[in-house]
Amino acid sequence: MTFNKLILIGLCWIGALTPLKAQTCCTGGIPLTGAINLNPSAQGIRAGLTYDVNRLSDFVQGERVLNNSFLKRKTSSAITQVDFFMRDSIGFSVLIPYSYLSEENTQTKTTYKASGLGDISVWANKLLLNSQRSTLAVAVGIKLPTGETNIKDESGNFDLPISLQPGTGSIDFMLASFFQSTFKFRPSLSYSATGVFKVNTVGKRYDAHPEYRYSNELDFYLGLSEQVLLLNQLVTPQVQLRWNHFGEHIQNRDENPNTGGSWLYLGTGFSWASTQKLSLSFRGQWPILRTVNGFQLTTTDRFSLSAFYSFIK
Amino acid sequence: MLGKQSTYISIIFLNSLLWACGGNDAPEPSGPIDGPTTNNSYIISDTFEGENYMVVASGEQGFIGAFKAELSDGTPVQLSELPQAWPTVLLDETGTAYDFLGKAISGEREGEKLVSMNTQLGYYFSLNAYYPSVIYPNQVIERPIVDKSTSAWSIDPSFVFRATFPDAIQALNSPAFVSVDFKDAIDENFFLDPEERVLVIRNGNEIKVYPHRVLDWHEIVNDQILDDKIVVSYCPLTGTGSVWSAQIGSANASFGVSGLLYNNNLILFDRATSSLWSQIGKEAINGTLKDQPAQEYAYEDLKWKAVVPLVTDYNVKVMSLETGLGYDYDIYPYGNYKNDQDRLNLPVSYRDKKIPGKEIVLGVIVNKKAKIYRF
Repeated sequence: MTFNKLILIGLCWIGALTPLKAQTCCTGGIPLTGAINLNPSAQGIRAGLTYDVNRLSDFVQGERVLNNSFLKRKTSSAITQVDFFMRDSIGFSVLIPYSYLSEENTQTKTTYKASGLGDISVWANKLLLNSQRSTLAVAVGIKLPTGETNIKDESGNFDLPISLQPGTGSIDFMLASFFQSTFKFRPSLSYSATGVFKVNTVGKRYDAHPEYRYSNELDFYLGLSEQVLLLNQLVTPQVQLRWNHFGEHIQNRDENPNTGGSWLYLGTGFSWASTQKLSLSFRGQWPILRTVNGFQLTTTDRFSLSAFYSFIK
Repeated sequence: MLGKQSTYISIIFLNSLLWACGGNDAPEPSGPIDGPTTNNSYIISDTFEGENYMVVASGEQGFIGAFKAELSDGTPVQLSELPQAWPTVLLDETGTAYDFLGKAISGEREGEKLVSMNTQLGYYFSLNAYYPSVIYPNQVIERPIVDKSTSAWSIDPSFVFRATFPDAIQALNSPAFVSVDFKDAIDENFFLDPEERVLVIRNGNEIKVYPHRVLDWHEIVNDQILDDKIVVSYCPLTGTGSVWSAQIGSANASFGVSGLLYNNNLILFDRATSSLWSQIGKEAINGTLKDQPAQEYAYEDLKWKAVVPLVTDYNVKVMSLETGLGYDYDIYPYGNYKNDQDRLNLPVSYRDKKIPGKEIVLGVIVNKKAKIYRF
């Protein structure tokens, strides 16, 4: 077990040790890594839908939140996910997001909207350890530039700002690891750690920014969950800490000074397995510490609701 | 306290020495150069497109202006340099002295005003992109001129880009001002630094001062000076300012930041008709008011320390940093943008490198052409 933990820590921090010299934002706020299941434990197919809402209305300058919430941006994504669990503890996942993006100016009472297919990502998972108490898995993924990057404004003349484009126009790569284990003194109580490192490349499809590159991004999650029986149903409440970090995006070879930073989020939620095949989960996430580069409109809260159905043999 | 007072003592009593040391000749451009020039001072007489005028530059005060040799009532005057006397810069044949705002402040023509040339101060690249130009003294810029205006746009719309949505950058409306007396102005703890740049407008005995560092964040201020409604704007990407009368037709308009940029320069919109206005072009470029020129209002763009000597004679008000919006105006919002000579956020229609892109220059604009003067 100690050896496995060391592997886990090592995998989780490969990304952290890699230089995060410049690139871009987290796929325009569209979730990519939060919905990934790295726990293929049986052969079969699992399909699910996640609806994720990321609300951004906090203006932050460095660490200071301005008392000036006149802009409210919302990124809502419906993510269709299909997991294929193969032999030898290998699995594949495909995530297809469709995003609804909006930005409201509360002073002028105007709202701008866009929607479209986002960037599809494909993951390959490998279960390294699946003992009675512990699970260790790793994954590699690729994000494809399927999302739109040139949606026009109402006039039809100009591209909308990058914040309202569903795609990044870039091929990006992800490396992830997942570890989960139960406590000896209380087998219903488990802890988990997930590390995801995303390497972004240059997107070439922004009209005014032919060489826009989102920053490399690091996500690290620590979670605690307890299985409880509630009204004869198995419910798993969870709490989670998420540390997210990325650097300044590169715009035409220059760093965009108002991008990137570090965020620590507190998350909570629960999952409910009504049968062995159907499961539902709900999660909420709130920033508790953040240091942004320059001046940014950043996440106020984030919620996701998921439903999965398994076709496991 | 002593340090700042010493600075102003230098400004007021020793400026003559700096002025004199600046010399009378404008710097000679000679192809691409290493870095921006900032400290030359000179007064020259020049001609461009048939217009005769004098260019007055003080690198120490961060000031360049251009005046015709005539008063606002059409009276011709013979102007000469008046060194050693900032804020006074010119002298006419009657012995009347004129300050950098072109106002006669002593002599038999006291109270009269010189005619200002149509000018634009800003980063070289922005004037270079917008105007067919020459650089003083007569270094012609071989610039291809292709008219790509359309029925909807009076400029080439292929260099208009949306950076953000209308009003995502918050224009200020009738912000608070702080009245300043000389004691305040030289106080060590006064919130303006002597070297920081400000936009200055004057109406009668009132002077209003708009710090660049606030304008960097808001770009537009809908305001008034005495009874005149005005719109003050500053584009942090092109380093260009403007002050227009807010009167459009028979009504006063309020302006906002459109989120669109043309050659990286601010495009304003008026809230009455939603027409789009080019800041550098000083006219409506799209919408129902297309081709209507803005009514310009005289202003200067210079260092705060250059304004301090006026505090004793004018009612000087400085725009407060307490805008109620929570911004920290000590932070410049564009990183290393203004110091990186090559960096541009968006494509421009034309660009050469005869002068560093972010060098602050004066363009004297005649017949939609610019003649460029450097510090």
